Amino acid sequence: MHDRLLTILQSVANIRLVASLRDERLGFPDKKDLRIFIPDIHLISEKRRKQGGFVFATNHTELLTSLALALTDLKTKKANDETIVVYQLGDFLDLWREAPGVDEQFDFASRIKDDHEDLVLALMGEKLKARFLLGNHDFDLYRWPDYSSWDRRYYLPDTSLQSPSTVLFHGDIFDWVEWFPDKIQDILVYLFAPHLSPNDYRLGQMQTLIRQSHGKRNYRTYIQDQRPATVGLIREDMTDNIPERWNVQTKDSSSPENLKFLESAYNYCIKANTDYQMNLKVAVIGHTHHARIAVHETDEGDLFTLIDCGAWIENCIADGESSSAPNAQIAALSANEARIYQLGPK
Amino acid sequence: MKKVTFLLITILLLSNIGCSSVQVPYVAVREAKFRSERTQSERIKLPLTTESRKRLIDFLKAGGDTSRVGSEIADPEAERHYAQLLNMLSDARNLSLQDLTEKQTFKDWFPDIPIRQVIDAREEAPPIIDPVAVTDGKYWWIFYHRHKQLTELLVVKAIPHEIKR
Repeated sequence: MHDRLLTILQSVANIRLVASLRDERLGFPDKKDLRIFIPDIHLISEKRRKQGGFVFATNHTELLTSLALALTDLKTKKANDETIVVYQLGDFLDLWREAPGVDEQFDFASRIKDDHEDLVLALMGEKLKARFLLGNHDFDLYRWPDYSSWDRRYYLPDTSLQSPSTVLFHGDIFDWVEWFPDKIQDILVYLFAPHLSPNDYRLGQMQTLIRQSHGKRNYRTYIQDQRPATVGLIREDMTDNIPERWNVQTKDSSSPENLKFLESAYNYCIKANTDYQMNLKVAVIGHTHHARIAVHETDEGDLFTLIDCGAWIENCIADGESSSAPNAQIAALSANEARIYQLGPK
Repeated sequence: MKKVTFLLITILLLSNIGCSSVQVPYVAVREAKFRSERTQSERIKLPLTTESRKRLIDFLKAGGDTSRVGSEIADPEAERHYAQLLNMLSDARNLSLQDLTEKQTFKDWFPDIPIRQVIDAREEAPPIIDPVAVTDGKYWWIFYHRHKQLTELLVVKAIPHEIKR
């Protein structure tokens, strides 16, 4: 199914490979199950973009629209025994930049959608049936009736009784781990425990933490980093077979910024495995705007993988390149293989 | 007396702090007999035509109760009261999304801030592009739009917030 996805992607964009990892220890073996991850988009209205003087806006919105329509086509043509699910990993609508002081305004999400109608219709369309996570820039949507099915985490596989091997978060939880270690214990229960959804009180606690995390930042000059994210050596040639291991970040060979959140994700997933009888081996996140696959391998031969899917805002730079490129990445997981692609206009 | 006043002010302030959460406003589409359409396929297209305008006037004259249409006049003033609004809704030049939001073209009829959360239990899922709901006190006027042009209209009899005694 990876090949079919690649063909579809190549029909709408120039595709380069950011990273790939094929390993049976990923714990997602089904060859007829493809999960596609679209990271942070950070849409704001055009009026607000001008008013706010934001340096960064969503990259390649027309390409992203074409991508969503192509994925819809892929999904509608799948065989009956196949599974294709698209996830948007949070920070789809950037409420925090659209309307500081959100409590006084109730139409700001609608305003953003009004200005990006084609993209929103493509990505939220009934045929695509994409699932959405709440990010730290659009968390307030949990209070809106239209968004009550958006979630804080998903577990995979979800088509069998198999114990979950993969967890999907927005990723801001790992900021809280660093900044508010004393305040997150209750919330972690609701984020990790399967079959348990956070109630209004816990959601309120999360909202408070998110507001504390934002502090007084207005995100005018940047959201995650003014500098382009370093994504390593990007593979240009997509005609040959995708390598088993490409641009995988490890403790031995990578800089600390390429390993960000790896240890936190590993530690919390291991704890969740013990606490809730799970078998988590993979965490899929967005939030950092830094596309990469990073792995933690133990002496016993166990593998834990962090798939950070990147973003559609701010920039990245590949090894050996003199200029940066707009972040425009998606990731996919199927048949014990994870890939991250960088997209560009044709 | 001063102490009592101070105490009351303090209690009021504290109670406001304690109740800082804000309700998200939304509008619910009512039962068939209290709306200008039975099914979504009958939704009134904009700009209004002679035919759709008459349909709307009949609904408003019946007091927003379709069971009375053609048999009773519940609101004899409706035709006169809404004439100018319906004239404006018949003219494509007044039908941009901004006419309802930023330009407030219809503020004489709809003085309050528009509400964008509309719950219609007939639908499979919430709307992707949010309609705009405004009220004149008697009705909710729910405008649907595409590419920032108002394209369709649903009028629903409003439920009074207060009962006068």
